[in-house]
Amino acid sequence: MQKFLIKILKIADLYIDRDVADFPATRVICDHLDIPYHIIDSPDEMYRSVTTAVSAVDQGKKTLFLTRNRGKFIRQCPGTEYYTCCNYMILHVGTFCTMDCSYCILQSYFHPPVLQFFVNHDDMEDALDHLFSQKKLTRIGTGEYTDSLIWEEIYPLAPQLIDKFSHQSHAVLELKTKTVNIENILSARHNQKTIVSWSLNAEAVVKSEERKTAGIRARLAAAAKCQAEGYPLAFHFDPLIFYPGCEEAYKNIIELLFSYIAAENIVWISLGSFRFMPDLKSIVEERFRQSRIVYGEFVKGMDGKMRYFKPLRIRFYQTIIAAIRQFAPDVTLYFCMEDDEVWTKSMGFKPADYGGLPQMLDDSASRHCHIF
Amino acid sequence: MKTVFDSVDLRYIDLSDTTFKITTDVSADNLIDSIRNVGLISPPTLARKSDGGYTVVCGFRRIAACEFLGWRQIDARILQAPENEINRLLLAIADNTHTRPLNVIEQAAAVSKLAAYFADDIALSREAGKAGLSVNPGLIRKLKKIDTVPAALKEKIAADIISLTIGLELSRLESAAVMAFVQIIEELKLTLSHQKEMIQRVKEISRIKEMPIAGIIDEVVAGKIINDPELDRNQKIKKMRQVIKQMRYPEIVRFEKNYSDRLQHLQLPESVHLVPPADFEGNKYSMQLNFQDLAQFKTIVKTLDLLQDHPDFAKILDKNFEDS
Ligand code: SF4
Repeated sequence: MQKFLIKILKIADLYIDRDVADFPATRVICDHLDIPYHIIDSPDEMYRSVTTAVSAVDQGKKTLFLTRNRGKFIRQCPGTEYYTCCNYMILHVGTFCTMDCSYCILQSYFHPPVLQFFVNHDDMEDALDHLFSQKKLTRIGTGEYTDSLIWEEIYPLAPQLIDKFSHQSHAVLELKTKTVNIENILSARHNQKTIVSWSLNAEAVVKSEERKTAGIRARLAAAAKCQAEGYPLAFHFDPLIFYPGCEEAYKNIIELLFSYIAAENIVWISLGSFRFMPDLKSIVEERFRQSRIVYGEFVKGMDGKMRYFKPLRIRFYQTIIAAIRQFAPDVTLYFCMEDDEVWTKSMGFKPADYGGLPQMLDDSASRHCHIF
Repeated sequence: MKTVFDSVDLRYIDLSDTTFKITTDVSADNLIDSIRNVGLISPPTLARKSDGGYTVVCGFRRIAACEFLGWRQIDARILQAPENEINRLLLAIADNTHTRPLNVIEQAAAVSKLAAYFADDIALSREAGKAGLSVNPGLIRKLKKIDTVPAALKEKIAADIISLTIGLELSRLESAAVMAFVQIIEELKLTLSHQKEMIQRVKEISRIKEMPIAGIIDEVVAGKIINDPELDRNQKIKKMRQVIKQMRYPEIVRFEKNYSDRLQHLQLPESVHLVPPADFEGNKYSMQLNFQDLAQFKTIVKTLDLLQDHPDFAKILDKNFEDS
């Protein structure tokens, strides 16, 4: 029985690739949305309607295209050479997001930005079967090009994936979200092969920069429910935003986190300070007039992205790490895209001391999710 | 385009009707002498109005010069009906482009007037080209914006004191801010890159501190620096850049100051040059050593040896944030 959730996904225009018009997932979504749709042979007409709108990003967030993933369902997360990457894999189930965070990289990543949900699930299952057959320890997630749980409002994809992963012992799925769309997954048989994770931020940042996302307490309450169902959990303090008083604000969130969640149920916590490609700046200025986040003390990083001045990052990370360690001395903490200098000066060690970052995360996944 | 020559009473020419005016040059001084000495060589082109008067299509400055000389009648070409407005406008543009290159504001005026007839910038570009105005659709978009800036800024752009790029940058600001920037650019003759840096940083400071731009410039830059009689132009520019950077990046400036204080404490000889990673983002420092002979080399080695235990050198490498 499919359950659908409270709507944040408000679709104004639904386009369906003729190629997938009869796919089971397409039919489920059309029945559920119950709005007029256009069956199209080429996406050009849809792209035109998005790109010629006053705000392509806003239009893209209301335009859903049901189509086939014509590329690879499973991809390597695009890291960069200079900063340490965690060798994460992406399960590419769809693109873009209905929530609206000022800092969201997806606003400038897709040209044009549009909600796409891939309905060729047979191909996705084949790709996963192939991955599982390699019997290689893999961490894979659906939350890189979209939010992992927004789609639950129109299609119960998460329970399908959780079930798929529960029958093997080599790969762990991470569902990363800022929603509380967990109804569909609470009763799923997960066998601890799915980590449910939430991005967390200071309350002021959530209020001013993360439109349409669930509040922090709601996210943590949802995480606590998943904890009660035995799910391994993860949390991402990313992007950390620097502003006067931010240390205290983040310490409060850390305290709040551990008032809801037991440290031993956390597979990992990631930290990443706000970084962005320069072309995101004008989008934020245009779409989020009240936002000040692009006016931090940034310099150009080795990957071309704007990053907070490194000594500032290090000083801030030291504070946050000390606060987390107070509650969870043994939790696996890692940086998303930082170099050895930041690791050593903030964490006191560098990933290579523990076999490298992928190894550190694999070890934690093995312990919490029983994969090998 | 059919015209007839006629002698026209200057009182019937409506100089306030600028429908076809492209030029930004309001002075007729240089024409006055020429017309006084050799007469009106090229008669202006006029279009008859329904009230019996005339609109100027080409020759605003020539007519102004004749008025100044006290003429009552002038020879003119009168356009014959039925000539449509677009053709008259193209004629006015061509009359200007055929005698001199148009400045940015004149191009903007020409484009904005043409835009009333062409919704599509590609067609506009094509027609403008026929009148000798070469503007691609990208430039057309910029020129349309420039045509909406305040008159005082247009003047500076026309006079080439403010570039098109900076004009566009300023076009979104309130007029007090625009004029405050213009004053600094004009007085300090800033390079384009310094102009861009100043505008961007001051705009951002204004957002961060929620202070009006003009207020920041008046209080912080103009008052204290521009009017300082002790400073020459280069010193003013340097000081202004420092003050603005300090306001925009206080922590970075503090860090850089500590770095240079520590560097001084090391008392490195001129032959040893320590280079930190760009913006302190990478983690590789380098050192350049200059020496001519073994004796100099040995002195350098001794200096380097002392560095090993120097607390300030350790703090430099540690990228330590504490104030020194
Ligand atoms: S929730 Fe994530 S994907 Fe969605 S808008 Fe925010 S940052 Fe982007």
